[in-house]
Amino acid sequence: MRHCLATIVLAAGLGIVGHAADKISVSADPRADFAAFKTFSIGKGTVDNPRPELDNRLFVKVVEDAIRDAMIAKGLKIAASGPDLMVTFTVTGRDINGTERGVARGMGPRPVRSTEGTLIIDLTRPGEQAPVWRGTYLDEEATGAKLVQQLPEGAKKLIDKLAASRR
Amino acid sequence: MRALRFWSAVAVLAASATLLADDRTVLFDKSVDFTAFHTFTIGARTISSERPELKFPALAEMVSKTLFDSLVARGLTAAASGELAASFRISSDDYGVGPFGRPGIIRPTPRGSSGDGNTLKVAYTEATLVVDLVRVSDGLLVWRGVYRDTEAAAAKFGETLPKYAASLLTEFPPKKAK
Repeated sequence: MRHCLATIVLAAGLGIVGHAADKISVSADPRADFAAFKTFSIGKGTVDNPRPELDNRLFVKVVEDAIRDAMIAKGLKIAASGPDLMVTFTVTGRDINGTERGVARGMGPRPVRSTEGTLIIDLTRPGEQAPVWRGTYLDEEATGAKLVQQLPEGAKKLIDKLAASRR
Repeated sequence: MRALRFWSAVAVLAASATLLADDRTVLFDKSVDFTAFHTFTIGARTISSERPELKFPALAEMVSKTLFDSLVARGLTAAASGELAASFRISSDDYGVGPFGRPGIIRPTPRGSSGDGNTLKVAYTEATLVVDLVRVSDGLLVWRGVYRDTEAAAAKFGETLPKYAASLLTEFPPKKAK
């Protein structure tokens, strides 16, 4: 009986957290000497997502602050002029309508909706077009509110990966 | 056996919560001193929805009144040209559930086309309420609250949306981070 209950509760739990998942990927130019980059400046942040909680200057500022704080924590300094790196970022996303297996046998599939957000951070040498480093953070959450919390966290995780490139 | 039934019900409810969960976000500009605002004006209201329940004029009036009352309760005074402009917009999407359980947005049939192209019936409606506070002096958005609610009966939005507008404004003025 206990085993049965535990299985049901676990299945329900998995149903809740099932679509809270994130993915990180980082691409770095192997020719670039990341240890030589000491200063940065934050450039344009754009949101290409119609969700009102993401598509506004307040959210852009939250992401910008998260990137700035994370880079400073990793030993880089803000440069008023002539930075070694220009930081730009883009947030995109989409809503996902899907199904999940029912929690119990015979229940059939149940509708599930989630929202996916992708944060792309590019680091570019001033005067160049192609970035020397690109971090991509993809997160899928049940609600837009969760996405608003997680994308700045994702920015921190990406900058952690940058620190690894600088070693 | 009763315990098993109870926990089964809890499990099913918890699992369906992902679909029905309300979605609430408040964002604000940390560099703005919100205590410096003393007056406000109720600005634009936009309803972009096909649902007659949401286009019902009294709903916009009720949300507008809620914003007014909530801002007054927070110590602000209404003025013809206030320091803050409070506006809101409401939009909605109807969802149907397909034969394999997949939810999908039901688009309105374009005007002039014959018949109803939609094969899905409306299972529930998702409404989004966005409340914006804009600093009038420079037109900058300084505070935004977003509430997304899903209801099977769209008439319920008449009760819930004004309540959610008030709930969002409980976070105004924002508390300073320690």
